[in-house]
Amino acid sequence: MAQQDPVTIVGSPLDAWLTAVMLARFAPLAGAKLQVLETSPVARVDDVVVLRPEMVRTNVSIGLDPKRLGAQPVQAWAGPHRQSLPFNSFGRPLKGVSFVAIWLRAREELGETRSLQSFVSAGQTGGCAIEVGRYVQALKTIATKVGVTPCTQASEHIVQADPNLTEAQPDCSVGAAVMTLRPSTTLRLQAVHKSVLALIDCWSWRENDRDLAAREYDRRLQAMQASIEDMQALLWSDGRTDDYSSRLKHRVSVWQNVGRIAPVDDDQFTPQEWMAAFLSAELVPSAAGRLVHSLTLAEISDHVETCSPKEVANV
Amino acid sequence: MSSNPIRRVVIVGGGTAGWMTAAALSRYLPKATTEITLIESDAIGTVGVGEATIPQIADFNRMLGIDENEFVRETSGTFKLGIEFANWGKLGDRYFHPFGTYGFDLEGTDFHHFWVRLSQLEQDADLDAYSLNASAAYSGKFIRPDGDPRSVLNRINYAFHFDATRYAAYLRKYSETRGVSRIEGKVVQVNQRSEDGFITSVDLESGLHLEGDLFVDCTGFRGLLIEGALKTGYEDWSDLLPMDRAVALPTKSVESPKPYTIATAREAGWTWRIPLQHRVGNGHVYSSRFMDTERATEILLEAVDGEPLADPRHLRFVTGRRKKFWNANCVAIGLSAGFLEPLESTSIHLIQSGVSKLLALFPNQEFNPIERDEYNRLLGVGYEHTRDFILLHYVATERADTPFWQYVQSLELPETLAHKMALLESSGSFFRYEDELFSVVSWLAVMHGQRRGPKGYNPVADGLSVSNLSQSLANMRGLIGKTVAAMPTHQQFIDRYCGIQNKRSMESV
Repeated sequence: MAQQDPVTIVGSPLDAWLTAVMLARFAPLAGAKLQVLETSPVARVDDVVVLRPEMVRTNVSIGLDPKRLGAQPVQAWAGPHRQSLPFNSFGRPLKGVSFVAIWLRAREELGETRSLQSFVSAGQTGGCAIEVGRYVQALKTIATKVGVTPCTQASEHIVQADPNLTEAQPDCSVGAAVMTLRPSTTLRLQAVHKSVLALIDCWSWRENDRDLAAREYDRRLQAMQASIEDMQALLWSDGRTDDYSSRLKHRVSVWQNVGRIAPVDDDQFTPQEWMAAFLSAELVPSAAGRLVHSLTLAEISDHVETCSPKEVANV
Repeated sequence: MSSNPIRRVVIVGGGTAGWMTAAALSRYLPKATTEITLIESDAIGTVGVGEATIPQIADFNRMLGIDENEFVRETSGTFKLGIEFANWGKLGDRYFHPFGTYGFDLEGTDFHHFWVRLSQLEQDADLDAYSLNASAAYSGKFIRPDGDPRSVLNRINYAFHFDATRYAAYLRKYSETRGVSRIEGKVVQVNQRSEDGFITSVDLESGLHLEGDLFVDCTGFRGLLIEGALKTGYEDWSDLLPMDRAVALPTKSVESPKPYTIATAREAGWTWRIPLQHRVGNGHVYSSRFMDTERATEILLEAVDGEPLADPRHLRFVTGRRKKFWNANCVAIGLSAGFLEPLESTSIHLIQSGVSKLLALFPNQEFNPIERDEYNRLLGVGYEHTRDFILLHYVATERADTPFWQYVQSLELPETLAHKMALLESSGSFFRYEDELFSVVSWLAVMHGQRRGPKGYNPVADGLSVSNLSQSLANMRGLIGKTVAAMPTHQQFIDRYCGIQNKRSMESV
């Protein structure tokens, strides 16, 4: 797009102002004006949104420190059925054996009744929860400082962040306009954040590399989409597996048979988030690695106790 | 969960692969349940792959609980901070591929984007000045990280050069102490179940009949079990990497050991130089399609400095991988699993990766195919990523001065490699596959070292004023320079903590 033309970012206040500030801060367009056209809000101002740790880091880089806006540190984000998806790991390994394997054996042979989630390591995760209204207001304040304005003039160049905008011909799409998202502001913001970072990375390439840039942008979006869709399928499935992609089916199978999270390219979530999501879908491993049998039951019992939340909190 | 455990593991073949496998299994499998036997023959030589390693080997040693100073002393080892590549981008070129990092990230963005911007403004192209490893290596210095996360010194990362035969002997002692039985002998017959091909036992030349539940094939290129018995098949990659011969020659040391490997590109391949405490390992990897044995040996003899300690030893190989690393109840580890030339010192790492994944996916007697398939998937991806990174050295070059270099220039690249190269060259942008061994530091070192960019950078780097950028990067260079100046020399460090002369003096006591 010609760099002197105004660029309009169209989307809900949350999506559009975050997109605009990130673009203005990280991809200065050599004088091009950025303006925001707000569409319907997707969250109420008093709703609370969870920012993942990597999003908090991006926010600090754009000059917005959530702590100063009264954001509360959080250990996890919540799925639609109040599933708790933690940012920190579960317990600690012992002699090279993962805590999950230890917990499974404790459950089977020592009658351990506490859930795996109750062993989430204490300590700061970097993630936080913030009121939507405050967050959007802070984004607008920064936007003003970096020259982004509310939309005042017609523009031929559009970055679309709203999936319902059908009549526009956007130059590119980000966030919820890229994929079908379930009603979760956390996932929605994650999609905006990841897609705008990809856009920034690909934005300023030399003119003769435009095709390469477009291919790379598409590759990243597809990777993001695959990962988020898998997580949505798990969290919203209500036990149905029809919506599972082949990749998710493979991961479920490895989890159930081996107790491991199969690594995949460009995963947007941590292994502990997948474990929590699997367990919340009642997908429990039938085996958790044979190495756990190199530990005695006494070692397992002691270790589970040292990793219990109370003990960790005291440390 | 604990039902039906594997009771008898039989490892066929010693060497680095066999003893690394035996050591790791003996460390983690419960002795009361599982018996581990290793069969090897003194009459069959080992290839002694490796000698040079990458930093992950330290994780393996830690996993075994090995004392690092003792390990270095026992294997006549030295420390390795990276690899110097000569003549790769162009004849006369030289660059360093360091372990560790370059500079410090700024604004949450990789350092190299800021460096690219500054180098375009000020023609400051000396990337090595921002690497603690490269700067220390070229000053002949070494020290371990100090464990303080705020300290510059904590950013040093290292591996080892060691005598692979001594490493195998060291791990043999470790394994036997932990209950591994070693049987001297040659396998002459592999017995299989007719219904599914599972290996039930092996017969030895001595008449001994040994039964097992799980067999690990560490028999080297032959693949006595995985190929000889199970006919697994081999994926040949020699169209992409045409090297198929090597000649090795140990020589006397003529100087203090350098803390890095040297890999020099030649007419139809490359030579290595690996400094140990008691000798130097030298070799020449080449393609027999473009060079005969006599010429390859001549080049190697011209390249060495010290007096040869043995006759040149010739090896043949086929680059590629076994179609399945785990087939039925047999897992191939080491050269029986596949071969990639040691240009980036990955041979021992590929053994380590096989052993670690076998431990993580260790079967019971039911041999759940999901464990096997996941093992094969993960190892397959690991081999492919490593192959692509090695291939990068041959194709990111201006060399076309011999038929060999003209041939590699004409190769059709795997799409993933071509895309990664194009991205890094164009914009400094990099993505890393899940479980991919080599990070942006490695890709950047090779691409930049071989004159392939990056030409662009992330726009975040434009956020700093020129003076701020210049000052920040000058501070980084200064900090690294001061840190290196305060380090002991590599030789001093070895003498103090792990010199072989310490071993002799301990023995005399």
